[in-house]
Amino acid sequence: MDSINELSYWYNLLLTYFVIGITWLFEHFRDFAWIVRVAAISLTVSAILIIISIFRIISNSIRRNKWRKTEKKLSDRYGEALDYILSPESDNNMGRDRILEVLDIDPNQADPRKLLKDKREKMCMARLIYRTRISEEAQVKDSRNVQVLLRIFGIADFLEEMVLKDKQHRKVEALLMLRAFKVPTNQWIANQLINAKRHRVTRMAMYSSIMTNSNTDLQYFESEFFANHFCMYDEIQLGFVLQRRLSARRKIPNLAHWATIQNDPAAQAMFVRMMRQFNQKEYCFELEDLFNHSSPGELIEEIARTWGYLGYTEGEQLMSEMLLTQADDTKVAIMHALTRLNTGNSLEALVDGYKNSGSQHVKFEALRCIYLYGEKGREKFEQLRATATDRDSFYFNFFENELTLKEIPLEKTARYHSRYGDNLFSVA
Amino acid sequence: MWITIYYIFSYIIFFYSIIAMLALLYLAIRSSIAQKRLLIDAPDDETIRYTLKSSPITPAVSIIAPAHNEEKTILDNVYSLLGIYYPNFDVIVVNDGSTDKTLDLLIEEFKLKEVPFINLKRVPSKPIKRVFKSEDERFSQLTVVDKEPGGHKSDSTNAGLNICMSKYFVSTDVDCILEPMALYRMIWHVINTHNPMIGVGATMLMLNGCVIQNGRVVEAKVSNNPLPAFQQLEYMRSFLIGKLGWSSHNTLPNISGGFGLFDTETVVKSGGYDQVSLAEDVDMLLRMVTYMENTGQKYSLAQVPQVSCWTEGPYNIRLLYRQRIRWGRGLCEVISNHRKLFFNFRYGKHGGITLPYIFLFEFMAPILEVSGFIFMIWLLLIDAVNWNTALVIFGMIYVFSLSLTFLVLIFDYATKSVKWKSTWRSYTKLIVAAVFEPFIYHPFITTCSLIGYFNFLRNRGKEWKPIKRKGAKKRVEEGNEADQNSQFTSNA
Repeated sequence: MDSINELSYWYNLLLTYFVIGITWLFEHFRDFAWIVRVAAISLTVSAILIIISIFRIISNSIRRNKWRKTEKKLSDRYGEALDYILSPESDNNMGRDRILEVLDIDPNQADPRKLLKDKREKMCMARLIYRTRISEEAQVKDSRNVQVLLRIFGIADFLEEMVLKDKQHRKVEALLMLRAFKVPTNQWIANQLINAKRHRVTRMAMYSSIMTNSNTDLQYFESEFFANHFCMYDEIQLGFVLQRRLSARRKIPNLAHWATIQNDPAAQAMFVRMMRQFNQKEYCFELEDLFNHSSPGELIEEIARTWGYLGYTEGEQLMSEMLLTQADDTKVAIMHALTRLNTGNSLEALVDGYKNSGSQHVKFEALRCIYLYGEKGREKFEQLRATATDRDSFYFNFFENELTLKEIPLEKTARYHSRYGDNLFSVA
Repeated sequence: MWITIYYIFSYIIFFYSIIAMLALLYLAIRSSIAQKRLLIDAPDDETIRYTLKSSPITPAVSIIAPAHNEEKTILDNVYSLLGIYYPNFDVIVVNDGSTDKTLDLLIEEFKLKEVPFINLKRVPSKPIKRVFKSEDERFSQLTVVDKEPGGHKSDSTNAGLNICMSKYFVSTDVDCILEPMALYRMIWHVINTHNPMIGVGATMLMLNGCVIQNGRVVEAKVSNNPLPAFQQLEYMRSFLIGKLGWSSHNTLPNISGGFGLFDTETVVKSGGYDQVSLAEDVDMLLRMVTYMENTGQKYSLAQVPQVSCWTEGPYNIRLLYRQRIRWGRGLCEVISNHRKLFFNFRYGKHGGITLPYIFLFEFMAPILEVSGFIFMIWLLLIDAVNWNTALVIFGMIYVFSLSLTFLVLIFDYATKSVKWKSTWRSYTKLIVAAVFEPFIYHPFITTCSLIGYFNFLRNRGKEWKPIKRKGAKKRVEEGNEADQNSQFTSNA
């Protein structure tokens, strides 16, 4: 009996028993009030639910135990060898014979079908290699040994088959592994998953394809799916994609243009941030149209930050003009940008920012920017300190406290502030 | 006329029970669907960590932990907070006018030094007196805020919000022990959602009975004390069926005050926490929903099924009584303060579905249960009980409640939400608790809820009395200090 017939047999059998059971219940409680009949049926259904639950827990437990044993067996047999093969200290192109030697496998017996018997063993082995690959010790290197390992155990084919035929969550898992192993994903496979029910599956298929096929690596970011379903995960992945392009000395597209054609301000802000990360100063002028009063604060902040970071001095005038009319967070971002540009022309704008703000936070940041604004800034800072009212004098305490200066980096005010901040602002 | 009342009341109770059961069954089905979706949407912990720790845009998170007279547990818990895995976070402990050694212990242990501070005053709170930072590099992420006593946890959280500069913040209690991967798991939902994520909840369980080492739970167990065991069961049902089920509709009714991640800006724009509310967590979520719906913004809410936080529950009747009365009163406050949202589809599914559910099946349940019980006594007195019907209906409700427990255990097993020291022993304890719960625990908390309602009507019991902590069992082994020191060198 094939699996579909078997399934249908069991389904029909259960359905028959269920119908017989319900009919019996109705017959048995025929003379009772309908309340009793409904209650009796609910009681029976609940009892069945309990029994099914017990069976489910037991069967899950048995299955999980089997998986655990297989994982342990493979980990005991190959764990240490894998650590060694994928470690950054090892030769990243050890060759098949050496890898077989480390794995303690006889080259004559190195047939994937003999090494791993069934689907469970293959899956466990794939997970073992994947975990070793992404562990802190191994992820620093682009090792070719992974490819050899995959061939020895026949895992690449197995994972591709999973992507096509398995359940959705397994597909995602297989796509993740293929990507981590840098196995090029067939475009045809990716196309199969573009209209998947869950966005995550589509997204993973796209990324698996673009990270392993450099010719189509930017296609996704121009797609309708991206425009409609953009999320922060895309930003992380775009960073990886562009970094890879940079490493391969390939051209990075005009991200300012991409920012201007998006409708979603969050996506626009993302491309602006990417410009900063990939030093696209030559396209900064294209952002001037976006830098206006009608744009959301988040976008204005990102543009200001980018202009400041990339040294786009042409934008200084525009930023100074808009400084006082913005919300607190945006004001702070603009002041940081002006300080970073440090052309000597914005000191008055910063002083205005300090004097005309009611927010303690903005006042402090303005003062800090003045302090950092070269010699002229320091002079102004001392003048302000000398003339500060009692109410304002406490701001100056921060500049006398080493801990405060260390602990409040200016970049902390950014909405999505970067961890790889900005040393320029490290006063300590 | 009495016969008519008798029939009407019987039918109300019966239909109410059936609808409540169907609603719970529906939530269980939704929860199961949500778990299946999460298998696709949320990968394993290693992959999440691998993806996020190397990214420069991983959002900043501040953990705000109010503390009031917590000298027994404060150090363990702050170590637990500092030892969490995440590349971009800081911890703000808010000392709400403790009268014991809480602040002194913190100053001594973490080498704290007073620093000048900026009070952003974005949300109302009692004045901040001092702010401390650590001179020790290992604890550079720690900020301790000493403020005037506000009497409520929400006031302290607001004070923390006025110091916090991160895009997201976690509201927790300082007596909670967090799982090291908790932030990664929550942020994963934030970065994978198209609509802005305004809040993420996570499963919390009882710390009672567990063993902790270096501020981490190393042995998860169900307590031998029946009270925490009952609460464990209750929490598991609430998080794994209720909240996960609602989250699949993006209508999470509550992100627990014990552990929840929020978008700072949304909370600030919603006015921050209500300083005097006894159910500040539900209240905050409803404020955020109201703000988002009023301003026409789209938003997302999510729930993480894995256990991310352990909290010490009341271990004796007196403390449990106090806690549940407070919850009962808090529920009344929420219903009273947000009454315009109830049965109002202008406030989305929250107004049209979730809040009516809370009103009918959480607020009304104790009232109907107690009145049903009194009705039953009256029937007994006049010898008018139809025993066949009564027993079948009782059996229906009892067996259904048991079946829910089994479902919860399946969910727990399937999502591997807890790494129990002994799964079977823990499950056996929980099943035994489930067998007795309807006779012992449930009537007790129902009564407490009703007392809470009366307190609300009589305008009493407004003050927040924190639960005295015993502290969990600690395992002390050689090399602990070395472990603890190395724990903070790399949080990513």
